[in-house]
Amino acid sequence: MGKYILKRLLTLLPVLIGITIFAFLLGVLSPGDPARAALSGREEEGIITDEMLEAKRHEMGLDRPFFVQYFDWMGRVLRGDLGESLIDKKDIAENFRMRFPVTIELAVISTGITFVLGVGLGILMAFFHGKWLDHLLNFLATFSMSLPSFWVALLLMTVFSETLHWLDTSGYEGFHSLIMPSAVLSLGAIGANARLMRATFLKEQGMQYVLAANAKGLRQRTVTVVHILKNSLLPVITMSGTRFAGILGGSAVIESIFSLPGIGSYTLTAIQNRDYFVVQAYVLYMGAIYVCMNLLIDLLYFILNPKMKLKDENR
Amino acid sequence: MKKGKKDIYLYAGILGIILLVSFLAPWIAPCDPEAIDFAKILAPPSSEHLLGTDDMGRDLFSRILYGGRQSILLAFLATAFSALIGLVIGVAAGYYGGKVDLLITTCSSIFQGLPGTTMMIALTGVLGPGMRSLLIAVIITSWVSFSRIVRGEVMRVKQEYYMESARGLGAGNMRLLCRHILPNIMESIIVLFTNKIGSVVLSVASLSYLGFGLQPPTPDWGIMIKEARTYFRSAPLMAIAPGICIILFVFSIHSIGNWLRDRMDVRSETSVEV
Repeated sequence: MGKYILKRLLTLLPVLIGITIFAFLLGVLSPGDPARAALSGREEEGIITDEMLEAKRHEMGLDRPFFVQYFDWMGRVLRGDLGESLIDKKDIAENFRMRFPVTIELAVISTGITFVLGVGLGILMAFFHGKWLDHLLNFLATFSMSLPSFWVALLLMTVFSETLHWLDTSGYEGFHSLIMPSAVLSLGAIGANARLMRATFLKEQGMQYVLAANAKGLRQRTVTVVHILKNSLLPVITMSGTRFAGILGGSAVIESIFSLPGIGSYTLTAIQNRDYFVVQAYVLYMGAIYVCMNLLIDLLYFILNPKMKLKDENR
Repeated sequence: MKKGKKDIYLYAGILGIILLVSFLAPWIAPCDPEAIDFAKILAPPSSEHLLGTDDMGRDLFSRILYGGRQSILLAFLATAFSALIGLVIGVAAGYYGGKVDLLITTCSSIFQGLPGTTMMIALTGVLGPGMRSLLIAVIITSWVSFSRIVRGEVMRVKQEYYMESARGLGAGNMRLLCRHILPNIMESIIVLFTNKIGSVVLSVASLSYLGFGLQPPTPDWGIMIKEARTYFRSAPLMAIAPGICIILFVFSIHSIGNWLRDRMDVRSETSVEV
């Protein structure tokens, strides 16, 4: 198992390096001059002369070749230093750390809801395959995937906050602030998960091993739970994992509509302010999450799918 | 299954009407969608203004008719480009395999690690707002899903016996590709293409809502919802009408995509049973 994970890590390493290059390029290619931005944020407002710009560029190391800048930046990143924001001059890593709890809470709650409801409804659809309940849930699943999340968010806010006054519109004051955002985030994903669960469940049901298990005289419940369910969970796990990583990467739309102090809204503000060091750091952070999530999914596959263990031992 | 067949006419009908109306908007809209009239702000529906007017006195019905033009066109264009790029790259990876495949797979994993609306926002933020940036942002974030599926399909088709026989008969790479591989992977591309258009319309609407996509005064459903935000309670139609349009379009196209996929699944299911 260690060998397998190590091998996966080796294939993911170039991906991570590629993402760092992409992040760096995004910062370099973006319009606007970081040196000018850094100077104009000072209290002593005045005319920025060419000499001042030149000096600042030299101080920030922007006059060196790109690849030197890249390695310099990477070196700092590896030491945990993401630099500071061009706008508020605060430490970016510190800002990420501060905002991370909200984003992770949102990701956990909404992925949890999505997984449980998606799997449950998917199995229900598979059991009632071809009946009216299946058709109805199928319709609802596709419908939920077609809803613009920002529009649903506005609708919920109007109903539950402004009309009924049950929940606060915006800000973060504990768990109840996350009810509406995670509901909106889960909505479409539940539909997608349920459809996937239904399809894989039906496919697994028609497999030969089910026939063998039935012929062996196993109880119907054992066949369903131990054999079919376990096998059909894999694709849903992958989908949920990707979804989890996506929300961890900051759901900019939802976080900003509900004014949650998470990573998505932070990045959105940074993009609006052309604060490219933050955007750079953000892309890097997303890449790291992607790699970690992929490893985690692989690990889960390894645990759930005995075929892979066998392959590993034979190697 | 009969039920699904009947439904598909309904969805195709809705989609057809939306596309037709969007195309014909300049000829059938009763008013100029950008004509501001401060004397008639937030007017209720009337015979003159079927859906009333918005906060700047513009005719809501005309704006609705115009509202899908840009984003739907953009979605079609961007998805077509993504599919084309994904097709070329995916075929190269799947057909040649080996080192080419390794390189392409690594590259596409990089782009897959940067998915989603936030990445599109970052790209449009860097490139500046407008159609061109949106097009680039959508292509960068969506070609990978095409290349991955094409690669997988090409690898599957490559192992079929008929490929070996065609090669044995002296068919060249180009002929194998055009006559045997492409027709076999077309179905999955069409399904992905259909579903992708729906999700691109949703993402573009989100971007326009946040101010990174299409820019006002363009009459666009996403922008209209953004402008209606403060009037949701006093003039709900202003936000609900464009929302329903987006939902109808995306829902009908998703349903058609699902129908196409189910048709393909039926075939693969029967082959499993044999």
